[in-house]
Amino acid sequence: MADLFDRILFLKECSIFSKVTTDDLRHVAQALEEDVFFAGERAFDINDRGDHLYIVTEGKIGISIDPDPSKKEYIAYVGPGEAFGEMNLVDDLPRSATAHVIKDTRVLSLEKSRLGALLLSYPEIGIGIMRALSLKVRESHARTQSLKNDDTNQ
Amino acid sequence: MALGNATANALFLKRFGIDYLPLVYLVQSGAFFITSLVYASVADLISAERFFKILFALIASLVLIFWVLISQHADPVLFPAYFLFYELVSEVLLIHSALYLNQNLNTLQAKRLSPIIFSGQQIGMILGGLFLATYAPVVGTSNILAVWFILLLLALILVALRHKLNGPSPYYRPARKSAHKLHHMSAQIKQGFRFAMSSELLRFSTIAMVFMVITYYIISYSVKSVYTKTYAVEEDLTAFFGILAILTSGLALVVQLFFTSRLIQRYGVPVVNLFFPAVSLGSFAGMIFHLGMPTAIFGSLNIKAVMPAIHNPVRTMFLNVLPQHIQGRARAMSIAIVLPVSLFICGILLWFLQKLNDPVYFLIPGTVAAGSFLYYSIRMNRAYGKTLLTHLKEHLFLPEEQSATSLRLTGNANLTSIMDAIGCGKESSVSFARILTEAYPEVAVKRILPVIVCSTPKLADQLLKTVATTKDPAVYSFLVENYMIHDNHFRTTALRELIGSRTEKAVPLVRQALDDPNPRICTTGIHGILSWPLVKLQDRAVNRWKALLNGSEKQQLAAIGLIEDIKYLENSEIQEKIAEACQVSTVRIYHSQNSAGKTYILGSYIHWEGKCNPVIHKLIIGAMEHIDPEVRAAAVQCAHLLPQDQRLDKLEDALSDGHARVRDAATHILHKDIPDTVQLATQWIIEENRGSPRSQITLLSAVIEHIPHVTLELIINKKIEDARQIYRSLVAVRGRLDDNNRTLRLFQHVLEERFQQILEIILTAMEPLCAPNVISIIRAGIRTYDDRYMANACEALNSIPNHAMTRPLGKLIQDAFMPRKETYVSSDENIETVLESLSMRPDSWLRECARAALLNSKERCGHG
Repeated sequence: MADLFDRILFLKECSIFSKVTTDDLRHVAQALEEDVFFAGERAFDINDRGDHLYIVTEGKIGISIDPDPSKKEYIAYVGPGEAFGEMNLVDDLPRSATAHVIKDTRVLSLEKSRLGALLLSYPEIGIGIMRALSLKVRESHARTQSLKNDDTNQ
Repeated sequence: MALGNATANALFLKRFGIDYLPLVYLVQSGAFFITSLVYASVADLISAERFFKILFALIASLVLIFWVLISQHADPVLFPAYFLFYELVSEVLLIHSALYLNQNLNTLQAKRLSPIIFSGQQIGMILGGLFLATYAPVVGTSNILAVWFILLLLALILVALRHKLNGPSPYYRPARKSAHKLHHMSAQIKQGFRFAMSSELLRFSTIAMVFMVITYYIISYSVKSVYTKTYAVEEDLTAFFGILAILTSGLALVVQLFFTSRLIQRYGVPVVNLFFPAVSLGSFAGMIFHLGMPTAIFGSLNIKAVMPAIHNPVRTMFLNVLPQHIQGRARAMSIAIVLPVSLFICGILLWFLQKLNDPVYFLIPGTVAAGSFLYYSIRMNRAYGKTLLTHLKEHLFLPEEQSATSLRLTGNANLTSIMDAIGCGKESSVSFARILTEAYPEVAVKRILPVIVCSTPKLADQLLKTVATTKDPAVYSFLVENYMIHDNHFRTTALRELIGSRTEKAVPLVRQALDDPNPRICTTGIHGILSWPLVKLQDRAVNRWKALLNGSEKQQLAAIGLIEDIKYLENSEIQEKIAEACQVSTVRIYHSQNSAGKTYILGSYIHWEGKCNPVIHKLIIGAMEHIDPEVRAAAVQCAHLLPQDQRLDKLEDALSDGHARVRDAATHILHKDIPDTVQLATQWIIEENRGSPRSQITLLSAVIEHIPHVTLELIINKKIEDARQIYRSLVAVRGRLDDNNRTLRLFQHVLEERFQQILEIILTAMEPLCAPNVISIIRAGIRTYDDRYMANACEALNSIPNHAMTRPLGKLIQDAFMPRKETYVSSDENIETVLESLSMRPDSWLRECARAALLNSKERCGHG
């Protein structure tokens, strides 16, 4: 069972909340709920309507982007301290991947509507999230540029 | 520029001849076009100060070359070349000065400093004029070029020195290097034309500008011909141009400083817009009557003083009513097309007309041009009124008085337009009603009241509030007669306005309101009776109030809203009873209310000065933690009702709230409640280091204007010390970090945040002590961790003269952000000591985390 400090640390080390101060994360941590997924289940399927972010506290999740949600060809794994489904907190698009539960997994989940209420009440949480997303976009640009350079060199 | 102007004119007019001036105008028109395109293509590729340096170096070199060649009696073609060179240089320098200011000042600074800077330009012209008048006959006109060369070098050195000390232009953002710059510029001009076709204001403004340029250059030509004839000797002519510069710039300076804004405020933009064309027409009339020195000097004053001091600011205001994206294109079109084309037309006109050997032949077309300029300025005024209305919402920043004056002066057509807009029943109707009330108060009441009758209840309510500001008795008569026309909300507003007016006719309505089943109307009636006061009805009102406090939730809510009116009751016993009943009702209904209801209840207590019971204290303290910031802000505003020992603690928490509205409410209450907020702030920040850094920043920002510089330096030194201590702790924590110790990992994040926040307090305190861009540069460095920005930050810090203050900060920043090695973990500094010392700090969140980390550390040692 994660206590308040633990929850705040999980949030702080989750990329989308990394730029939110711990003072403000106290409010977010109180909105987190604990949940459990069992091995063999799917936390969500590709193209599902997503309204939760999950942070893994124990266990392992495999991410697949195959249009067929039953196929288990993973492009990434999510372990303790890592988050999945975070993009759905800020956009309304369907899930872009399927989350397969590899081992029994404990998660902390944050519901989109609860985050929405927190953002209205504590706008600096929103500013922190924007900073983190902007950082992600920059990193993605840098990766694309580096791939382009690699192609040119080859 | 005074030296350049006088020498270029004197040398050209005396050594080459005024007969060639129209020809030079033709060449100049083409040169203007090319220069503006080239300037637009390159100006934003490099920073403004670098461009200035290049420009000054280039101009100075060319001036030097011209001086050498002219001194050696070179080819006469040099004189028109030098004249053309000056005309282009003066234009580019003027445009680039604006860009330079744009890259170096923020909007607020530009607004405040631009008048001073442009006054400096006029003072420079006056000093230049004084020099010319005194020394031109002594040193000779051509040698003035050497002095101009030296001044240009000085300007170059000044710009270089300024940026060496203060760093690069803070608002410069390099444009992308693109091969399509010219294409982009031509697209902008094309769009400018397209807008001119669709916008009446832009169309008439463009036509007016064509005639303005023709008028300007014909006046310029005419007066120069007079001056050339009057002064036979070149040096005398140069000295005269110096005197003329003193006269014109002196007049422009006085008018700009003392009259322009007052004239605009008093007569409105449209009337002032007609001033320059009218005076130009007068100049031509004078010159036709007698083309001599007095009329020529009058003409010069018109184009050199009236135009820059009065007409140019007004023209900017005209363009300001257009949407932002159109303004830029309109300006591009004016500079690149309208100015060169008009100058070309003027050159051709003068070239043919001067052959007729009689000034009247060019003065008459000049008069026609000035007349047309006046005519199109009038058309422009009408279009301005219409555009102002069309873009009303986008231009609410215009001072209301100014837009009202301007609208009044642009004819009755606008009145009809405003009335049509009010009658349309949209939300914008209220904005138009506000303008009508400002611009035509005499007709506003007559026109708005009928609209209220046929509007929706919501709109009627807003229109009523607007028209009530006129305090016209007709409004109150209307309300008495039409009290029942809309819903309860409208009736409440109407009743409140009637009570405020103390209209005798309203007394029956107030009495009737006491029995109204709607609680809001009923409480408005009670408020009317108590505040008026209507003594005979007071007992009935108090009984009704008591009844409401024992009624349904809605009735109780409305009755609590009256708590402030307890002060109107004379009997202290009744006062106490009602206050107690209000509080009982509050406790009874508060928790079942939604956020709006809670905010309403707390809002009722904001101005109440009575005593509260402990349950209400608890309720207020609870509300300070509510998720809705409106509720929290309302609760903070009730802090005066809390016991003294809790009040400051709660306000301190509110100062670090995550919502600006709550923080603002806390600073407002502190200002209101505590006589010496500055003393309190310094005590909290320096002596007690109270609360979180976020609360200290809020408090400091709220009172910083009143804190003496010595105290600010104390704050800075104290906080540098504090930041250093946090940094030492951070390094110690980092040294003991491992993956399994989650509490310590969280504590590391908290320390990193606190370190940044304390640096922010230091920078906030430094703001009044040094240039704002210096602080922005330092802030960019410590926020981004980017090496380049960090280097700039260190440079900026070194540029602050107070080294005793900045050296320790510089060292701290270098240690923390550009470390060679982390040097602070001394052998005797163990983690428990660090955590123990931090767990004693007044910052509650830091303290809590330190204690948790300490406990965890001790447990781990125990297990080990």
